Amino acid sequence: MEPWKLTAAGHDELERWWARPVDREQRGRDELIVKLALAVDSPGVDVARLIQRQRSAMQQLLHDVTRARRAVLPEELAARLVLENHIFATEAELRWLDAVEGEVARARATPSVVRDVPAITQPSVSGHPK
Amino acid sequence: MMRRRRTGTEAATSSFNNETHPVLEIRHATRTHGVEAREVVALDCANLTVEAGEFVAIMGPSGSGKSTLLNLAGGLDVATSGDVLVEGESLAALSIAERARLRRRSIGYVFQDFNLLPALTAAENVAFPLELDGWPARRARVAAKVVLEEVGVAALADRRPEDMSGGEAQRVAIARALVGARRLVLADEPTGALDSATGTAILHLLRERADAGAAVLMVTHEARFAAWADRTVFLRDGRIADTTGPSNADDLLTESAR
Repeated sequence: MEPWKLTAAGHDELERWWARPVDREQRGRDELIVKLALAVDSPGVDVARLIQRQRSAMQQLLHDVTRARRAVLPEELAARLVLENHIFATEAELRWLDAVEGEVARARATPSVVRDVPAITQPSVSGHPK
Repeated sequence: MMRRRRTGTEAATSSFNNETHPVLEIRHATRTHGVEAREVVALDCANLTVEAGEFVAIMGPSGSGKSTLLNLAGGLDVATSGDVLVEGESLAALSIAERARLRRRSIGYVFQDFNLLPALTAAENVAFPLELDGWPARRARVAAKVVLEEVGVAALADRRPEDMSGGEAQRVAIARALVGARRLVLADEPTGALDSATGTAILHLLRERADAGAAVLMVTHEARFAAWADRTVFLRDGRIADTTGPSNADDLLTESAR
């Protein structure tokens, strides 16, 4: 016996869901992006240290996910895809941290533009560029 | 219920003897170039220990001291102060000839561009360091073929580098780094010239060798490849800025992905 069945409206909604790209609009409110955007303009915040702490934490996550990915069996396709998404997303964020660090260092080396530190852009994990 | 594949040392089939001392110890190592006003500190009082069966990744921006650290670990350069010990032997206390012998017998190098000798076959390339160390050619070739088999490229034994793909050439280079039961493998951007899938295969191989008892120290700029190691060490301005590794939350991650 089937526990439940999709209605015709449900089928239509499911079809629309499959056809619709996933909305990534909320990523701009990510705490890390907000924190770094505030940090570069806040006096007394050691941005380099903040970035290194974040980098370390994310590298630790990457170690964890990579271990988990290595433990997945070849036939476990869905688990592999999910974990690889974590790997790609974490890697993209680490690259973004490198870029932020470079931009901040360049801005600090040119005192006249310290107040004009470029707006931090989010990593292009997926979805549309802003 | 999904089965869990054994990882890390669980799956190790040790081909090395268990030793109590670290394979590599870098103690307060500083390397400077130039003098006085022109002095540049390439590495500043670095401490690092790599045990048998351990895989350590080094990351950092250009000029952070990664290559200096690797060169000191491999005895290709000498610390201005501090010390480097390989299998308990202080490199600073050795003569140039003794250091060269230690390099041949204990240390294997893997480079980004493979550095295989183009005129030699895979087996000859792998046997070459043994022959330099005085092994009879026949015995060296037998040992080379055993290691080529271990890294999955026995079929390439009679092929020259020009007839190999990048991944195949790097596997041969890893075999050359391991031949003669050398226990310290130093890899400098070993995936730099490879595509992502081939790079992953090479990391698999380095991980296996560490699980089998080798000490592996790898410089990389790819976070995803560093994550195959037991630890990632971050260098910045010649100093070790941070070290991180897994939190042992992998079981939870694996289950959540299923």
